[in-house]
Amino acid sequence: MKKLSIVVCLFALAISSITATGVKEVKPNEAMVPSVVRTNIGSEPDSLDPWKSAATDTEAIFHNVFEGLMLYDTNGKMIPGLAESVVIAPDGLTYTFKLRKNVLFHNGKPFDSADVVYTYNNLTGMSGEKAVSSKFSLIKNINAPDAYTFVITLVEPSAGFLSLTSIPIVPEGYTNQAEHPVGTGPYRFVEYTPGQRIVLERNEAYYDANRMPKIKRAEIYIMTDEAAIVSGLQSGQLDFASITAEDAKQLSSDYTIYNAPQNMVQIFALNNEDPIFSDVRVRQAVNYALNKQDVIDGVFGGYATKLDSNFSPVMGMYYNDTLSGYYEQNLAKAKQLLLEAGYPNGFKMTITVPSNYQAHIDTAQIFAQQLAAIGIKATIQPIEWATWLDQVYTKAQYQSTIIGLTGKLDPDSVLGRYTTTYPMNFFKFSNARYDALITKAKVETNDAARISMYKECQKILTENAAAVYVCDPNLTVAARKDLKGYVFYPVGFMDLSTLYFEE
Amino acid sequence: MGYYVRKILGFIVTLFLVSVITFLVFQILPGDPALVILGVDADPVQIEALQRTMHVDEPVVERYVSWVGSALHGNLGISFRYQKPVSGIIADCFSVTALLALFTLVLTILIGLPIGIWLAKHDKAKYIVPFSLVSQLGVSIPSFCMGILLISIFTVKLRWFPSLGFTPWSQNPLACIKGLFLPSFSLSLGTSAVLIRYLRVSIISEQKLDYVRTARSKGLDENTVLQRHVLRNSLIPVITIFGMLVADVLGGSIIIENVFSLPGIGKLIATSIATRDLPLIQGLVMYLACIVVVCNASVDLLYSLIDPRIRLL
Repeated sequence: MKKLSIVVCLFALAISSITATGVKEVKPNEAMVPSVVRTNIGSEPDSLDPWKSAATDTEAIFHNVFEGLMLYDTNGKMIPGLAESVVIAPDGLTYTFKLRKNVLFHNGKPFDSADVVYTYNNLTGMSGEKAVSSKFSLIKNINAPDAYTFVITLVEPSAGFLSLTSIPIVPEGYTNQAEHPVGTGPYRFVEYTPGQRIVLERNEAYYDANRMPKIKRAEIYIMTDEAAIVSGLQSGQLDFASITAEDAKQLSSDYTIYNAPQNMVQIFALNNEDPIFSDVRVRQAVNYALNKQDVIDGVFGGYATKLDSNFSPVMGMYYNDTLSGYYEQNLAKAKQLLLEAGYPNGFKMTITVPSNYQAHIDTAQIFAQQLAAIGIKATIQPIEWATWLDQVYTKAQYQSTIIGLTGKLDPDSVLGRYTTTYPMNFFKFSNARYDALITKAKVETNDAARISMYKECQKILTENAAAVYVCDPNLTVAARKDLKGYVFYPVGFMDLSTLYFEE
Repeated sequence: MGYYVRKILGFIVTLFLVSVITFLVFQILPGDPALVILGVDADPVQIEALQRTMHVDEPVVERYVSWVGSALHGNLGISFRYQKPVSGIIADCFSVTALLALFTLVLTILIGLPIGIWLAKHDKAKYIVPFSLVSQLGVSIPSFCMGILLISIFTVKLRWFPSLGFTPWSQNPLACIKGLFLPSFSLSLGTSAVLIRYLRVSIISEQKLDYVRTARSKGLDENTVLQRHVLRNSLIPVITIFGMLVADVLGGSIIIENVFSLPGIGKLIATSIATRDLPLIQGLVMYLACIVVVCNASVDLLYSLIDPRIRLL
């Protein structure tokens, strides 16, 4: 017994000594300005290789490591990146990029036009390999007259093309991106431990003094559990993190809460090929039966922007503001439309929701209740994400679903989802005039004409009630009080270079 | 000899069945791994490129046979999700979970053994009743609830222990212990409550036996009787429970690793199933099946060590 108690005592002693030495590490208000910023990412990166990655979360982090010829600013406007300037020929077909000098890749290799040629050869499939992306098929020819000039010729004019040039430029011949990414960005990749964290460090050789990071090191923890994120913040183990609106209320007294629309469209999609929902009157009736404000208040704690088309106001000049309030809740009108469509007593329907998105499940519950008022009995069917992607997103075997689609800089990649030929048009929306407008807008180089075409597209979607456009939930970020400089972009990008600790 | 042959045959048949069943289940389950990994923003070309690396279009039987073929050579394939060899990923994560399990078992012994013995020695209602209440709590509170509670006390309020991340033992043993203390403590509360109950009952029933009376009548003092004779015999049922506790700890780690953001087997299982990472799931299931079989075998072995009268027949 004596031995045992000695062991217990020793153990207790060991623990207390460990905790005693550890206090310093996790204390938030150190006198010294921290050189590390710690945050979280909600999912494992899909691939570190930018050519194999598509997830918004991954892009949000790795846009700090990689840069394209052009970059985007906080308004989504294209600005010079690795190209210090671009000249577009009057015919809209030839883009001449003047490349920046004195840029080094993170592995020390100097950047020049050979790297750009290598990158675009692979993107377009001109290298002889399979094309890395289908978006660059409109490139006819690429050419580098000298080490710091790069020329792209397009098949046809494309107004959205410039926004595609934010795609990362990678060093020529380097094929180990999936293991150790190498770019030119303000942060360089240090390590990735699956299931645990990604570590980035300041690129000391970065060419742009204005974007030179103030914080030396960034640690991004892969965390899925909401409660773990909140306790991570509260215990000072995370310096900032995106959180739910509910948690924001709890944290608001001790943390700076940043809150902005994130250019996401939460959609209550109705399968347009479903026997019931193929009737536009039924879809309109559903639109009139719902009150989106209840979702904004009930699910997002008021932190969301009400929508009326498949665009968030974040899309700026493309956003059609005349549609605002197109479907205000009107039960009499909804019932009338149902009567005309031949459903005087309503019908039964199923809302299929991906079970990993609590917000969408909660929204489905509110909608099911509201639909009951016009006699529609909605059953909620939560399904696993992988099953949702297979059955709903790919095969369109569903009646209705709720999902959030993230925004893009180019309106075509958002609205193009509704064209008849788009492979993942799970809305099953099909409208000849819409398809024609999207095709025309793509090659229209007159900005005003192009903008009005996209506005018209939004109008068609809303008038035909292609879906119910619910809201753009805010991105809510809590940061410790001395961490400043957090900025929002219209696409998922967590800009680490602007962050700094106040002294 | 026959005993070992039978055990090994059973082992092989179990592993074979396990591998067939997991393989089949994931054929039936809907979900395209490439789409799950890349998400709704993927370019169709990217999805195709990823699908090509997965060989999901080949016939099921062919894929299974080639998997078995390479698995027999120790090659469990390449993970869809991580694009790395499955065996390497499992080995990395296993070291985390194994340490977590080890810490939990050590804590379980440190907490359970002294309390169990003490309660057996002081077999009175005034000690037993409050303990029963506390142990009931220990058993019934799920470990992840306990984990969250411990985090809010020791991490958020007192800031004694971290609640996220893992430091390998080789890098910094102290930080490693610190990181694993809370998760293993929350797991060990339930397991040590079980251990205490079994140990107490076991000791009490042993003490009533003739050999104990003989030992006492030799004039040995109470502690010697307990340590030399009673404890040794009382440990036999306890070892049985311990075998079960190992399975408990491995099961509990799935949730506790998520609560504490530990990159262990539990978190890996959750991710691999959600992303339909067939090679990884297949590898993990084989690994776990091996562990369960080996654990059972070692419990049998421990019996014979503690009580040489028990033979492995």
